[in-house]
Amino acid sequence: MKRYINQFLAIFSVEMKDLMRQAGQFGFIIFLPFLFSFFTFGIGAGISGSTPSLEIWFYQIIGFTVLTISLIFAESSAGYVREGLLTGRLEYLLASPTHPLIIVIATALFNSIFALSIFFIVGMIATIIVYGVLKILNFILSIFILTLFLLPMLGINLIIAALTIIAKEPAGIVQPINSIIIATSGFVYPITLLPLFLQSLGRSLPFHYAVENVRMTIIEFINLLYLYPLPLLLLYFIAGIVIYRLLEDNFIRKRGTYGW
Amino acid sequence: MKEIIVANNLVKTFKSKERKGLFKSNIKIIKALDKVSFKIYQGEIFSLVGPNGAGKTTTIKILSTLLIPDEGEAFVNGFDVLKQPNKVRESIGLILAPDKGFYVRLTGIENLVYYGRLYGLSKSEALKRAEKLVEIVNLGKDAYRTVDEYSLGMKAKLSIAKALIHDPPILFLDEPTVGLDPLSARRIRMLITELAKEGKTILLTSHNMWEVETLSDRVAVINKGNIVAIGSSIELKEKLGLKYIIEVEILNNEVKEYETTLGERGNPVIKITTDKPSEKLMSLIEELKEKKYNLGYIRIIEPSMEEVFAKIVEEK
Repeated sequence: MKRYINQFLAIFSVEMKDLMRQAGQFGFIIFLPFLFSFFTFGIGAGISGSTPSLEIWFYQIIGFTVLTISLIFAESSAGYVREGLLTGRLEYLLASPTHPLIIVIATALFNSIFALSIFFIVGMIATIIVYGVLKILNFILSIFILTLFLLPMLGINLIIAALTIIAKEPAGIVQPINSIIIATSGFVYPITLLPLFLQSLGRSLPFHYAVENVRMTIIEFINLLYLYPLPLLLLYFIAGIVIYRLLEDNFIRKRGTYGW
Repeated sequence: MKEIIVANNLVKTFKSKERKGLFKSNIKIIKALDKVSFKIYQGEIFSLVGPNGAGKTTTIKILSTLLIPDEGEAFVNGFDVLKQPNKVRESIGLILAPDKGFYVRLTGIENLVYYGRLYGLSKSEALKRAEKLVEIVNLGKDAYRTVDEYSLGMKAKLSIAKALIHDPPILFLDEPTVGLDPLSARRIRMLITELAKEGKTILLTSHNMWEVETLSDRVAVINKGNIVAIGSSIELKEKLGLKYIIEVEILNNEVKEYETTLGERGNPVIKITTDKPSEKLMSLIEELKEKKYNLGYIRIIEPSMEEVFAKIVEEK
């Protein structure tokens, strides 16, 4: 057990240190939801000819924050695999006596903390600007809700990583999937505005439920009834782990996709 | 001697795409290893040499559990690479490319601690071991700089430290001196020799035949996935019937009885090719003394591993 904890902490802490030494990038990611939400808020004001309420801006900034997190989350493991293969780190990791699940859990936890810290900083600022301290408890609960939805997102993240092992380049896999996520999840507009088939696509993915539940928890309060898709969405998590393990074994160890 | 690495009839094939224009491609099956078998004994430096794509790295990757063979079996430190991969991984230190495998924004020490912990060391144990290793590999204070500032030589040293972080009994070193300047390469070679003296078993691959000859107890030549020759460098030279060249410089004399060439100092040099250099040299010196020749330098040129390599690979 001690060995597993050490291995887990080793992977988690190097990823954390590596990120901390790119603080500018982290700052830029935090800046993005503000940039886009002010932009759409401004366009809305310009078109309507009146200043919309701050609640509209809040709807947008929470949407853009969850969108940013979703996009990062979708491609983080694919990026980890690709960078690991290019830098040779993944081979050394796979040649060490580290259980593959520890690698997955440690990187997932790192990605989750990264995502949640973005949400915490942006969401906290936005909540205080719009609602003052009144909705702080709601906001803290929304972090918990987001954490729950990160699990199925992690499943998708692992499936994308596994596909990256086959395709070798993440861009070809990640970009089409990200486009689908952005278009169908209703981050900055209600999903009901979309044609039915796109709505169905959006409802089959966890991102729509994540952003809707997070927004609702902050504005109103936690409503367990709206969490109904979560148990089903957790199948993504299980599928992600199974597919990743199968493809990693088959393509890296059996087929030797990465040369000899 | 104890057999510490055993490879039995290893077979590995890869599928490769041959592009035939924009859309068409053929799947080509490449047999990287075709029934490769060898044994390595405890404390031995064993080199695997061969042309590019011969199967050296595939062999190392199978032995280090990174690749699964299609057929055959392999044992490392008594453990089956397929059935006991974690035991195998604990037994080996690995260098696949001396400049790769690092988090470049982290320092050398931080990278070593990371790898130490992957092998089950606690943070303090890993740090202690890392500090000792950076001294051994002569990295010194540079170990506290981030890896993106390292030269290739420094990365190679760090790679050796990385491979040794959990003090494994076996080292797999895939071209550990590739791209290094002569001084750095010499330091790495000295380190490899010291490690072997400490009792570590080393499987080495290199394209530098002089390095292979200097370091190795035994050498296996692999070509197109087959082991085509195996033995000590002397055994291989004898097996191939490679000849030694004896050179004797003659001073202030005209040589009539022997064929000569003009030497570096403008004097005639007798050159004789033989497979028994000491006997031939003794008799030649006797003859030359009897004939009152003044002798200059005497040199025996051994056939090099490069010749061994060229002869084996070209013949096959």
